Amino acid sequence: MKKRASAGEKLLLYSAFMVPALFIAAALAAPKISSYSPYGQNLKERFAPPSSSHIMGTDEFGRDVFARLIYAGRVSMAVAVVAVVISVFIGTALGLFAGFFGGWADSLIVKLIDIFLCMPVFFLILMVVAFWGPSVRNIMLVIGVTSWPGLARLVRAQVLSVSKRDYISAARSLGYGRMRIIFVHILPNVLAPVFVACVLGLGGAILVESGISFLGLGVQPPFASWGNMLSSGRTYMGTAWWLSFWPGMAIFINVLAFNLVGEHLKERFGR
Amino acid sequence: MLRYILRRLVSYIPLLIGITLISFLIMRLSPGGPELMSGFGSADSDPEVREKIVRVYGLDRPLHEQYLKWLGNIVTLDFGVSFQDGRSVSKKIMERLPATILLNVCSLFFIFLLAVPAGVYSAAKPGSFFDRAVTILVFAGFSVPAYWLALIFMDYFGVRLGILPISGMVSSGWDYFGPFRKTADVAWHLILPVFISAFTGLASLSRYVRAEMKEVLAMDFITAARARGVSEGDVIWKHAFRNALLPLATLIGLMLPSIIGGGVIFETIFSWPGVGRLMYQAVMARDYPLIMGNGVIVAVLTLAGNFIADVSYAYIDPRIRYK
Repeated sequence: MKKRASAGEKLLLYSAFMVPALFIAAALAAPKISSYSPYGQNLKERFAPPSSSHIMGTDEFGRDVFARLIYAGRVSMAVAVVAVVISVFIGTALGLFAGFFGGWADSLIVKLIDIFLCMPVFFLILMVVAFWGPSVRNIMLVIGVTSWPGLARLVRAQVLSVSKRDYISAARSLGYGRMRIIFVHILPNVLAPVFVACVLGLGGAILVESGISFLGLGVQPPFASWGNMLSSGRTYMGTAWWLSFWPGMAIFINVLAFNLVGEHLKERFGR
Repeated sequence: MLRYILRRLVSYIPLLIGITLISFLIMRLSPGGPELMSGFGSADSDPEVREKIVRVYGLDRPLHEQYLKWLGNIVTLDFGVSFQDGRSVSKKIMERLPATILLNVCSLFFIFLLAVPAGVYSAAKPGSFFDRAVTILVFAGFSVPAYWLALIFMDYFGVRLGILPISGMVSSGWDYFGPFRKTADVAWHLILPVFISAFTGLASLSRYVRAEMKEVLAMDFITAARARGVSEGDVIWKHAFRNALLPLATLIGLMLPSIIGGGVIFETIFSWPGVGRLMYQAVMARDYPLIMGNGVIVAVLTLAGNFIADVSYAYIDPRIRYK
């Protein structure tokens, strides 16, 4: 028995779909949307509060906050997408492999999953940034490489249960090759958790990236990311609230949207 | 029980090896990493110096040999000395540990205090106003950038209202306070960081309790209990909750890494004198031995926390011991 979603819930869900879509569209069409450059300084107009000419105000260098916010969306979204692609690829591949082949490869992969699950990822990320340098590429890589174990575990469990079904035995007895069974018969049946992990992962990656950038170890100025905008705005919280408010809000509503959609999908797919 | 503990301990050995190996590889395979560790500058410095470093630190030996040698050092807690003040890395970390443990234990306590009843009540009355309100709050806490929330609270409660301290663990002159005032002062400083940490870390536990309770409440023995006329409160707390509670111990183990990892940001924002802030300071100062030591020790301690969670799970639920 499925509970029908109420009108309020539907509205919430639609807005949750729209928020990241709008931000991504704005990021792609950034130069068309804002006439200001995200790097153009105008020292005459420092700390201008939100007004009709600068709808989100200007920062300590007189740069337009709205323009920076949109351009920062490019970086944050790109980092999140690449990180999620990496982690979903690793997670799905290892989960499929472990679940299907079993044996020592399986126990090795399970151990690897356990190792990553019980490491405080943020410390690991700081180590990587410290030794490999804070660059957008390194951030994408390290978020991707550290966030796959949850998915791998799910996919593995799913593969194990799917492999016992009759149609897999049927495929085997028809003499289909392993690759055909894995990719044609098993993979489509484990895609649901993969899809959910993609959506939830985007939210998670945005949060982590912004956290690292906030500490000054992620995206480096003058390039804008929501995290480093918040970080440089914190000094002026008492006098110019708009510097930290808008980027904080951007992270919050995007992550919230991804989490709501992800959770909804999870329930739709029956976990 | 003892046999179970021993078996668990053995199963942690590969995890320990994995964690140390990953840390070692991050350092060793980074461009110029080992030279950085030696404190003599990067690879592009004087070739003669470089050659000396390579020889002294055994960088020309095979990787596995280097790893074993390094592992031998860290087993005796020898992480070298800090670049900043020449003090032993492990000593510096040990000094900071109590503050981190205090903060995390308090956060965990409040997460349980809030998440368990919230999850149980939500599951008892799904779709109710309470359930919806809790769901919204939990999602908000899960999605909000913790440091942003921390900044807003610091600005409001610390700066505008001036009623809560916003940095450090103790007020100035703490050493001269009486024992009661000392405790109160620390508790005072704990309020903001613990609140933020608990609020943003609430989600996994409360969602979990809610899902688990819903599942248990749908079982036959619950219907049977209701049919016997057991009061609703007893059905929920005595019959259902006890069954939903069991796997909680494992969940703590899974929550630990993210709570401790998130500590880097809290501790930095609130100037909390713990290992998270130490890590941040070490990265900022390019204090490589301290970075390595800190990363490894925190990972191993998280593992120890996991182990405690495992053992307490087996203590609560004896069936686990025989699996």
